[in-house]
Amino acid sequence: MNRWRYLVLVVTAAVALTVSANPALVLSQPREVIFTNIETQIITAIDPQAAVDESSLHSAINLYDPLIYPNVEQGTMNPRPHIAESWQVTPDGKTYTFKIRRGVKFHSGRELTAEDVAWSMDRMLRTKRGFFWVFEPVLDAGGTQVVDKYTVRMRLKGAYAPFLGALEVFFIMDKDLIMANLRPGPFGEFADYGAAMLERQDAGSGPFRMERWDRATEMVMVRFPDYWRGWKDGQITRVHYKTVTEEATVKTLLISGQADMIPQWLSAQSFQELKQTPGIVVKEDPTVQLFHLQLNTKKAPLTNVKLRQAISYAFDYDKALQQIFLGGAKARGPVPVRVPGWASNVPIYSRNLNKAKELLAEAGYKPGDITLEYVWVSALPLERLIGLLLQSNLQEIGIKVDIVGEPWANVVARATKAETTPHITAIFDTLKYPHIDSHTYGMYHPSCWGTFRCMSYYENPEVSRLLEAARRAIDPKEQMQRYQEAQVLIARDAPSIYVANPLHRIAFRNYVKGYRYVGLLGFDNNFYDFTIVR
Amino acid sequence: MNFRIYLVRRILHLIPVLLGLSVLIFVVSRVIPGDPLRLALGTEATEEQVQQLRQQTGLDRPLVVQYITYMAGVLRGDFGYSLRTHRNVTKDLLDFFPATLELTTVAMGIAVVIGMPLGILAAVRKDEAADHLSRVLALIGVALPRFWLAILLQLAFAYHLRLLPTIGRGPAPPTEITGLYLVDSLLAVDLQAFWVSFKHVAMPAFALSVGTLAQVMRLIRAGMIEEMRRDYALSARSYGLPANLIIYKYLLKNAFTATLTILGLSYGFLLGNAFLVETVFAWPGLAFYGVDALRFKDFNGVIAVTLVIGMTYAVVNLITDILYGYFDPRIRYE
Amino acid sequence: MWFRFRQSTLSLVGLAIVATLVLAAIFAPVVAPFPQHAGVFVDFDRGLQPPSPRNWLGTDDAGRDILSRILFGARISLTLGAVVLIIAVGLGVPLGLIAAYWGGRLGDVIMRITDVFLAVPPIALALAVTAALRPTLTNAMIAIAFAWWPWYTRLVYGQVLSLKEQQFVEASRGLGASRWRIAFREILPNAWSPIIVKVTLDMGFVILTGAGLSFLGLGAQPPTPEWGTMIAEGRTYLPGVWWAATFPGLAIFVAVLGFNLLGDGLRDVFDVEIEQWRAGS
Repeated sequence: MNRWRYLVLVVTAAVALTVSANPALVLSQPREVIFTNIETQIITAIDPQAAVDESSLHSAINLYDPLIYPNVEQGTMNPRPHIAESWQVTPDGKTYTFKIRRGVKFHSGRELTAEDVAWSMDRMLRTKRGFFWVFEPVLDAGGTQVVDKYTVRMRLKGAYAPFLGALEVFFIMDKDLIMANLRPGPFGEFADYGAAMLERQDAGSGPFRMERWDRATEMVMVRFPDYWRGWKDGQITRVHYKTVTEEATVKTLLISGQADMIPQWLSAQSFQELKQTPGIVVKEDPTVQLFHLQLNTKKAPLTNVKLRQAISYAFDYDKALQQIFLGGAKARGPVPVRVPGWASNVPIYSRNLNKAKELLAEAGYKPGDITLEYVWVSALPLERLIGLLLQSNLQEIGIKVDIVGEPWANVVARATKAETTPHITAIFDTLKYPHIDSHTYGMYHPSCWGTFRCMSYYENPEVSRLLEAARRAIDPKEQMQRYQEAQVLIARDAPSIYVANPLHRIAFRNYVKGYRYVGLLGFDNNFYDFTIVR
Repeated sequence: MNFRIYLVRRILHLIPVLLGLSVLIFVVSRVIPGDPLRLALGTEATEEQVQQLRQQTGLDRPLVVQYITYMAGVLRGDFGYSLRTHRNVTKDLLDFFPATLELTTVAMGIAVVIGMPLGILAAVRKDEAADHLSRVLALIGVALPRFWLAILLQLAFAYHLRLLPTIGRGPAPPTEITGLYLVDSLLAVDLQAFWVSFKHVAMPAFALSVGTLAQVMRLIRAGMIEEMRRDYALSARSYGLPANLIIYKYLLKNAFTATLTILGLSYGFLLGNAFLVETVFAWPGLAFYGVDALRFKDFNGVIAVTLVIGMTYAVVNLITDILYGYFDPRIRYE
Repeated sequence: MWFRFRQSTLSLVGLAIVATLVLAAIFAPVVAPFPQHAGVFVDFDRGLQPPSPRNWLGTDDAGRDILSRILFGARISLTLGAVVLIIAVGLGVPLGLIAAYWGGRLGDVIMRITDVFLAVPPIALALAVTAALRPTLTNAMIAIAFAWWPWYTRLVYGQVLSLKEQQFVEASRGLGASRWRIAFREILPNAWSPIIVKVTLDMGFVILTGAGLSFLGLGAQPPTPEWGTMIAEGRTYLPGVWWAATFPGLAIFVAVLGFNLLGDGLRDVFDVEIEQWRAGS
């Protein structure tokens, strides 16, 4: 009897304490809109000027503002005003003058001025990371001039086709904040250029502030109330940007409601499953994305072009598209079909075992001579399936393939040198800036070597010449012609097996509104654009 | 011998072992191919930058010098710089270790709390249905692959039944004193936080505990059966002392000391199996950190994790040895 | 001896399981309905099919028959276990024997080194070593053997220490036999029974450790049908597709159980009192 009474007492006390510990019953709080976004890869670069992959671009786009912005509202990638309110270009294409919007505040409270813009451009050119190589041919550090407090002028060394579009991934950083927080580093008077500070604190003006960053698991972003575009009801106040690498877990999190949005990298089968789940929206869009298997042209035996062509004829493209990708379009050359400037006469490889065997023999190899290494990103099971398909296809012409899964960070690391880059690597490549240049110069000119986009280490003097000329051309027709010629040459050399322009799929809970995919990597996850309607 | 001397001897015995371990791990990790420096600096790093970092981190010096510098640091509590997380490894350890400690301790707790009563039951009802059932359960428990069980539990409780969270530890309690969420939430007298943390740790800890649970069960059973045959038990019985009293007061105490040794060794295996369970549940513990460090080829991370696991294992064994020596003076004479 | 063994039902069950495993491994190419699925093979049309008359255990995401792959996986697991334990015994037993019988400085050094290796749980050590090498099945075997040998040294050390004092050893010495002869021809044969028991029990746990390494991606690579790798691959498609991850796990479970039961039976038969705790659990 005593024991029961005691038990009742304990339970009552527990309940009372629980109730009192729950603040929701006591206080009334401002309405928080919390958003949990899952990504399957960690943020590899916290510095927005070093960001090139999806997760790093997500952090850049939400914490910082670029100079101009893709016209997401109209569903295109074409530039529209953002930090730059308006701009003018001289007829010779060499001088760009931008008028900077007034009243844009950094998270530190300071107003963003032309000084910050010029300084940021110089910073990117000096730190030589991220997209600097897009600007480097035509702009030097110091080539950006501060005309007055709200006007900045960039003098290029020559006309340059991709310039304006590329400014969509040029992010403005808070000069004063960084200069006040320098740590020892290799950039002379600029020391570490803020690298140490950026790990704890952002230097941006974007809609969200970085509250906390645990590199391995999560970034927490909170709303910046003084964001220059203003806030409306239903917009997000806090973002939990989590990294989860296991596909099953990612799915479960979305289905159970513990996550609001999950990334595009799940297998096609998983998206099929999610389509049938109530409460979840799966959005499919055609893309300007290229999925290809990069062949390291500097690593024997892939130095032999006939061998590469043989492999290109052995792969079963249709099977990959219909049964692994479950949709999307077959890739035709390095440039995604929907990008203006795609050449319809670009040579396309289709499965032809006889031709493959012929070319193998012409290359001087017998079946059984060759073993190649295929590396796939371990968080992307789809790439493993492609690897199994490739293994099976190449076995038919007598080439052995070893399949190895590596985490994304390792793939990025291996890409930095030709010796460590694998024979074959599976890569998804999305348009980085709205110009055909991204899929040509950005992948097949020697200046890009060392990044995950250029694991083919391709070098063809004629192609380089054509691409450089294309960039300089002022006449749009001439530009496109050069890019097209280059494409044809590239495809003929088979530095990649061009598999697909896949469908972009993403899944989120049905109360998330405002999602729009325009094809430029990362910009579909600007959390400012979403409203939550429950 | 004097208990104090026993204690000192045991502690001294630890030192060469840990030193040897550190040499072993150090050598193993330096053999790792690949260039973590490049990985750390990012894709646009120039050769000069890599060389500079190599000098800064001392990776260009001979192995012996590196080892001495490293150990000097460790003795000061500094485990070096992680090329992966870009922070001091010590800080990383402080963040991740409590999670693993909590997981393994709760797992150990489950093993004892469930294993002991089952073991007693089996011993008392020897050769009856309950005993046979417990034997089968124990055999199953020991053979179950921990990560497979983890996946099945996740399937059942997190996905289908939606009773427990899928992954992770949940939010940190309001005060972070020990880093152990259960303890901290109790210290803050926040029962809601305690409940949330408990829900998160329940499945991982249970999955981890199963093997040890089985062993505890068998050991208690075996130990008690042996004790029950002893003279003092039989005579107590014949004097008419109530069975319960005999079980709890005398037999259990003696059986427990035998189990004590196994708890120490089991803790080591709990730590080892934590690698797999933490991966399945994305539990942000030392093992999870260690696996990432391994994949990323982060020297300092790998060494630090192995050393800490080794030290924890050694310390736990030390504690159980001491307790064992305290309870059973005969041991000290060995 | 066989009579005593026969008396325990569970031990017989263990023997049956192990025998089945060995037979499955040897006759896999004949018994498996789709032997080619264990190698380089894809059939995406039949991907992720639930268990059916054609595929008793269903198919995985590349359309491969899971039953066939599990049967071939038995080969890999048993080979892994055998190789690891041969190395572990081949290295650990002589070392333990030498350390115990010769004793002295050498003995101390050997046992100290053994202690160092034993200071870390075997999985942790194996993981550290696999990371230093490229992820392949062979390297996984090397890594696990690297972590496993000290247990045998310690076992044999204890055994030999107690055997050393026995009468038959004294007798041999009296007759003038050399130390080597005594060690290897007199003492070792008497120490075998606990070693055999331990090897049997360990088989299961080595297989489990190997599967764990492969599960983490640090062991066997696709398309090798290693049970741990299969679980990792199948895991992606949970919870809808449950068969791809569940059956390989069941296979591991059965294997470990079988070796445990057999080992327990042997222990009873040899009346051996080896240490109650087991590596790996």
